[in-house]
Amino acid sequence: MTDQTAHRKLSFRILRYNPQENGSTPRLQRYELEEADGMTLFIALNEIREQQDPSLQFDFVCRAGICGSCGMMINGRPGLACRTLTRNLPPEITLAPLPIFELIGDLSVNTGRWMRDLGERLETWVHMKAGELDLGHIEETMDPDLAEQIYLLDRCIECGCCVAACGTARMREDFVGAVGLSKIARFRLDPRDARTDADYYELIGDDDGVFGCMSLLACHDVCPKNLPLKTQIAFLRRKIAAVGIK
Amino acid sequence: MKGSDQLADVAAATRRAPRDRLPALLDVVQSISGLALVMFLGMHLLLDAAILIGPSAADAVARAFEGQYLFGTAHPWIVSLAALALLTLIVVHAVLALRKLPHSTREYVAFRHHLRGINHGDTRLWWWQVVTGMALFFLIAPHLYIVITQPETIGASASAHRVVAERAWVLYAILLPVVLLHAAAGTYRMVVKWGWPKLSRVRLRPWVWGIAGAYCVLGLAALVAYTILGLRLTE
Repeated sequence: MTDQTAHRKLSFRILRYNPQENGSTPRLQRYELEEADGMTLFIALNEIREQQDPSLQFDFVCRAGICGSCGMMINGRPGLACRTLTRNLPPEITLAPLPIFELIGDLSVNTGRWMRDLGERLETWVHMKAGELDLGHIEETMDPDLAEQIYLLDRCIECGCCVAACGTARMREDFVGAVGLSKIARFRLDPRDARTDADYYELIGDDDGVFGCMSLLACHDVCPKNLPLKTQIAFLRRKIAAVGIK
Repeated sequence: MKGSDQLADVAAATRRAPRDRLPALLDVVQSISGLALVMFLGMHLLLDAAILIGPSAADAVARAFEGQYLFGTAHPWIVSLAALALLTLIVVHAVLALRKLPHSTREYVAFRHHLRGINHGDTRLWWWQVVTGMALFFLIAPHLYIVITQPETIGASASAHRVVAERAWVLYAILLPVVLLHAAAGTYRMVVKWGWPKLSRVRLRPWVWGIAGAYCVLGLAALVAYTILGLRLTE
């Protein structure tokens, strides 16, 4: 009779490649580890780094699905290492860095640069009317339901999972991805932002924007924060299309 | 004027230039043309099934589309004209859909690699939509060519003859599931793309696949009925 409490032996195949290092070539390196109760991929990776290979590169900060640093391809699907329990995975686990983003080394990618470029391109900040900014004036109150809706979209942690899961983004590097579209949806809701749908059309009214989305919806299905990306992109498409065909 | 000033002016001019409204129009026309084609397909397959009632019912449907009951005599060219209009709609839809396909080896390889890795149902369904769409270029062409050039041969006996003696059953047996898969995937995508009607994907899927399955059964039954009739005619 087998011992039901025995821990599995996990076999990790991790893509190793350091573009900064001369002569480094991409390869899959195997590590083995005994599974522990409540083990996350983040814990497993730390254990591998501490006990087997200190050269292994991966990112993490918060360990709680808040910072979005530990996004990686887990058996081909993007996800956060800190939110992924090994017990929900088969004993053979393949890890790779998120595609599309600049590779720093091994599992570590520079999502920050991509997100910053996106933010500048889509102007993801509140655009107030000229002369409206008065620091001495008490800010208008906001309806709590509206604040809640804005907060819901503001929960995006820019982990890059939606971009890595997007077939369009994999084919077309200028596509803004679900993260870009959900940011526009967020500012569109904000009453402090003076921009109209016609202004947003200028930002996302083309095949690199909302009309490039092919509704494959892997973004929605992998989002670690469960953002309503499907609903938001469809809503945005209706509004932006209405501007275009007027 | 300094170079940097000139650059700033160019940047400002670019910024002020309103963006082309064409992408919105193309996106909407792609969906509307797809919807029109799905509605046509639904009606087409229902009317094809008239053969299940009997050869006279199939003939009555064919003559109705030739204007027999409107003008007193049948004018098969009306069917040719309608088929030409349909061909135009198909071309518009196909050309617009081509924008979404991989345009280079790099894009194709990137998507195939992504598809294999992510193992995601809706992404896979899109790929099947592409594959069936490409197949339809070749499958619809002979079908429409016959309708446009030989509209007078549409009716119970002539169609049955075509199905059996001219072996058109092979074409129809392939065309039917391919066009239904493409239409079902397209309808599903259109609903999630525009967010209307407001249905979750879990609730939408049984509707789409249930209706497509029912049409497939109906279409196959009609094809079998034409085959039986064709075999009787050859005897």
